This record gives sequence, structure tokens and C-alpha cells, in this order.
Amino acid sequence: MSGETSSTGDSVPDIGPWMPTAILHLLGLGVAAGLCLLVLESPIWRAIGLLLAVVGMTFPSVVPGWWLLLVLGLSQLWRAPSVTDAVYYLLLAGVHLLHVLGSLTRMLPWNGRMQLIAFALPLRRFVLVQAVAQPVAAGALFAFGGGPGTVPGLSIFSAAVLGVTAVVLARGLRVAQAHD
Amino acid sequence: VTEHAAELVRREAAVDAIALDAIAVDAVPVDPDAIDATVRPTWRRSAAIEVAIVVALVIATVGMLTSRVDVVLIALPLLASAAISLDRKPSPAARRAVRVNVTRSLGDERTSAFDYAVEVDATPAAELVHLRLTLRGSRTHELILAPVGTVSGRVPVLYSGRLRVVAVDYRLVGVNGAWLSRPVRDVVERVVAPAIAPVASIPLPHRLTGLTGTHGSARPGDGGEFRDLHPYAPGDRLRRIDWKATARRSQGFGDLYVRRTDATSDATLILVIDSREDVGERVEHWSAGPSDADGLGSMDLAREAAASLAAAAIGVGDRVGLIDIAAHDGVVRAGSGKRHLDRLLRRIAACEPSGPPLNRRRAPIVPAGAIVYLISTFLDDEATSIAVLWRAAGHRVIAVDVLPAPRLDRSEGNTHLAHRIVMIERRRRIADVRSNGVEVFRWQEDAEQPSRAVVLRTLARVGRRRR
Repeated sequence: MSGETSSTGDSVPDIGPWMPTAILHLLGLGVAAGLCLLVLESPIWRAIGLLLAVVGMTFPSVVPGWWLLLVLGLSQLWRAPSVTDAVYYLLLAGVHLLHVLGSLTRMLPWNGRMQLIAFALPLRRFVLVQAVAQPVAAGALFAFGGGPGTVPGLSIFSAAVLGVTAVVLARGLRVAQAHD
Repeated sequence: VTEHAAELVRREAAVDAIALDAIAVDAVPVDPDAIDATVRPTWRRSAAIEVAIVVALVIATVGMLTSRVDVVLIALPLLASAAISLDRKPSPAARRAVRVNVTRSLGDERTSAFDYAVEVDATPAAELVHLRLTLRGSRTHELILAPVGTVSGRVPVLYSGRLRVVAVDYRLVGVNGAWLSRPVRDVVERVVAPAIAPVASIPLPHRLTGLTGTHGSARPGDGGEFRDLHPYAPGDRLRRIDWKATARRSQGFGDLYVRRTDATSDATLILVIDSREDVGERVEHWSAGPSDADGLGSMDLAREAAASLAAAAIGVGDRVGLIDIAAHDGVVRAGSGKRHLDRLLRRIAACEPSGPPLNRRRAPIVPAGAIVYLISTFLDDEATSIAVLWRAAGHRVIAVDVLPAPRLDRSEGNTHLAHRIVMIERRRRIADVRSNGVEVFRWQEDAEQPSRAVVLRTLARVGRRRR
């Protein structure tokens, strides 16, 4: 049973298996730094990326830390699309993971303790989304595997994806506003 | 907000009532009931959703403009996360519960503790619970918990009085950290009865006025120690005639001698607690109020002294009353017996720094012939002036000094100087009351004075000579 514990006999609360919340902060920093070194080839952009990574993880509540997602996502423009490019799949997962970690670390103190079981739900959701996103990305790259500017039907495909997403988001916003 | 505040006030009042009722004679406040901290959370959206949408739309738009499907696809997981977060807003109708249970666990006489259990049940909407746990005598613990679970532990009981055992601040976190509830605070307090130190000899009043008891008084009567041989007088019982003494002493026919004994009597003790201030061992914190870092406080010593004297006196059949000179309702009339001792211990345990400085023109009224135990730190003139008034009224007054031994090892130079000045004033004050006939002794045992048992025995012997 999650979180069921017993008394320890001292004044340190017993929460079962746990990890320091600093690990999540450092994990985010590590993922961000790794992605910067992996996908940003220009030294200037690499430095900017690392700086944003440090700022984003040191001060999670500061919005400029999220700019790193933008820099990393748009860095794909300078890479040739390829269905066999492992770095692309890492980038796809890494940007998403940074978003998940950034959302969590915004409210996590550095000196806290986190139940291991508490990290399971966000992790499971990340895996589920990636389990869909990675095959879709591979399929899309395989189907439209030309070069930059030579993808036939991309506009139609992208418009369809954005349209579906917009419908989902609009529904979510309506639900949220109705509850507010 | 107003309703919530009113609810908190009602809950705290209930906590106080429970805590006060939970004290037993043996310093065992047992309260198995939980403090219900069920609240209805108010949710707000964090910036994570907006940020994810903006970043994803920018990436997707650039990808579309450049006809790069791979770039567009990078935005997909972010949009999916935002959509899931929006779709799973926690329902405002759902009730979340964080319940704090605190029970007293007993070890041997010197160790006892509170066992606490924080039960979390924040399903289904909350994904995480951010709990800030502040324990008595310990640092604050920041905990990130699953929505269902229990956090347990133990808080050692080091001091007496009203203690804030556990303070819990928590907020619930929705999907992906996109939803946050407003922080909620819950505090659990318990009243801990003081330890009762053994008191073998207890000083008594100069004059015993009771009609029955265990102490020998100065007037003749039944039941006490041998007093003298006295010529028989009308009213003397025949069985008190001492025939041997009569045979030895009688001068003529009809002279009879009776054995007379001292009467036994009980004593009346009035315990006066000066609860206007609570100072700890750390001198630099004296003006800031007590804290866990201050170590033993003067009120801890005062409660222990009062409880010990009360238990010892009632144990030998004396009558004991209590006056808390800083509280308006701080008077317990003198009485005896087990139930009265329970009442006294409850009141003593509830004594806490509560009042502004006094400016009394008259001392509180105490019963005639009672001995007054004035328990104070004597850091100002109020207590000593009252002691002198009682002494002038003919009461035997014993001043019990409960100022804890100071710790100055981490203090600055000006603190040393201030402490020295305060101590000089205090010594002068104590010398003044001594010169007025008030007997003084320190409750806390240290190397500077004989043990407490020796001092009390000496004071008891002095009183016995005078009666």
C-alpha cells in the first residue's frame, strides 16, 4: 500500500521509501544540460542553453527557465530529419521530460523528501504519452521522410494535428472555466 | 474565508477542551481522538499549463511555416500534457482529508513521547500532497507524498504545559503540477502535566490551625506525641490517668495525674505561581519568549515545583490551594484528597505565560495560618513585594526560585553585561525579602547549593521548632 509506514521511534517522520527532492532538481538540470550538449551545436546557443538550464532549475518558478524548451525544440530546425536519428527521439522525450520536471520542481523545495511512490503517477503519464508520441514521430518521419521544405502534405497533416489539439484544449478550457 | 476561519477557531476550542480533559494524575494526557483537519480545497491553475501551450504552439507554428513535421511533432507531448491537465481539473465538490492523530506513548518515568500519524487521503483528483510538518523540538520537514498514505513518527516530551506537538501545513497538487490548492494549516496541541519530584520533608506553617491531621500541633489534644503530665481536671478522660505518675507524685488523697498529648493537625499550603513570564536557559532569548532551543524554562520548573509540593502535601493529608497571580481565573481554593490533587495538577499544567505585568496594591487573600509558597523567577519587584506583604500579615512565606541556570556560551558581550546587571538586581531583591523573614530556596538543583531534599528538610525543621 502506498505510503503505509510505521513508527520509527524518533522525531524524523517515517514516510516509507523516499528520495530527496533535490534529486529531481538535479535530474532536471542533468537532462537539460545533456540535451544542450547533444543538440545545440553552436557554442553560443549551447552556452545560452546551459545558462537557461541552470536558471530554470535553480529558480524553478522563474518563467525564463521555460525558454529552454523553446530553444531545444527549435534547434531541430538545424538538423536534418531522419527516421534513424536517435538524437531526435531523445530530444522528443527530453523536452517533454523537462516540462514534467519543471512543473513539479516549481513547487518542490530543495530540502524536502519525496515518497518514491509519489513520483510514480507523473512518471507513468510521461511514459504513456511518450509511448504514443515516439511511434507517431517515427511513422511521420518515415511517411514524410524527405528533406526540409520537401514534405508533401505536411500542411494538411499539421493542420489536422493542431485542429485536434485545439479541440481538446478548448474542451479542457471550457471544463476548467465552468468549474471556476 | 470567514467561515473557514470560524471553523478553525471552533476546532481549536475543541482541541483545548479535549487537551485539558485529557490530563491524568500521572502526567498521562491520553487522547485517542483524531483532530479532524478535513477541509475543502480551493484550486488554482499554475503557470505550467499556459507555458506548455505557448511553447508548444510556437514550436508547432515554426515547424508548419518551415514545413518540418519533425519540429511540429516535438510540440505534441507538450500539448498532450496541457490537454490532460486541463481535462483533469480537480473537482471543487470533492473533499480532501488530512487527518492528524496524536497519542501519548509512555516509556519509563523519564521518557515519554507523543506518537503522531498524519493520514493523507486526497484521492482522486490530487496527484501529490506537499506537506510541511513542524514537530515540537525538531526542524520543519518538507514532504512530498502520494495522495494516499500515512506519515508517522514520534515527538519526545521534554517539557510540561501546553505544547504545540505537531503543526501541519499542506497543499494538494493536481495533475502534472498544473493545479494547486491553497495551503491549509492544522495545529495539534496537548497539555502535558509536569513531572512530580519526590519531596520527603515539606515545610509547614508556624502555627497549625487544623482540627485533625498528621502533624503535631502546639495545643493539647488527642492523638499526638506526649506533651506532659498534668493534674487531673474536670473534663479529662479517666483512661488518660497515669497511675504510675499518680503514685509517684500525688501529695494527698485524691490527687490524680493525667498524661496529656499534643493534638494533631493538618496544614494549609497555598502555592502561588508567578506565571507572568517564561524564561529559558538561553539568556539572549529572554526578551523574545520561550522556544525549543531555550532548553528548560522557568515555567517548567515552576510547574514541577508546584506539582511536587502539592502531591507531597496532599499525600500527608494537608490542604493545598493554588493562586496563579497572572491569571484572572487562577485560584483553586484549598482542599485535600485525591480529586483535589487532580484538579490542582490540571490547573498547574495549564499555567502558561499569560498576563501583562502586575501592579498589585494588595496581596491575594490566603487562609489564616497558611504557609505560602511563592514560585517565581524574581526578575522584578512584583513577586517580592507580594511576598513581603504576606509575611507582614503573619504568614510563613517560602520563596521558590525557579530561574533556570543560565547558558551564556553563545551570547554576545552586551548580553553578558545585561545578564550581570539583572542578576545583581535580583540578588538584591532576594536579599531584601530574606531580611523581611521570607525563606528562599532554589528549586533547580545545582552545585551552588545543597540538594533540594536537604534544603527542604532544613526548612521543615526550622518550622517545627517555631510551632
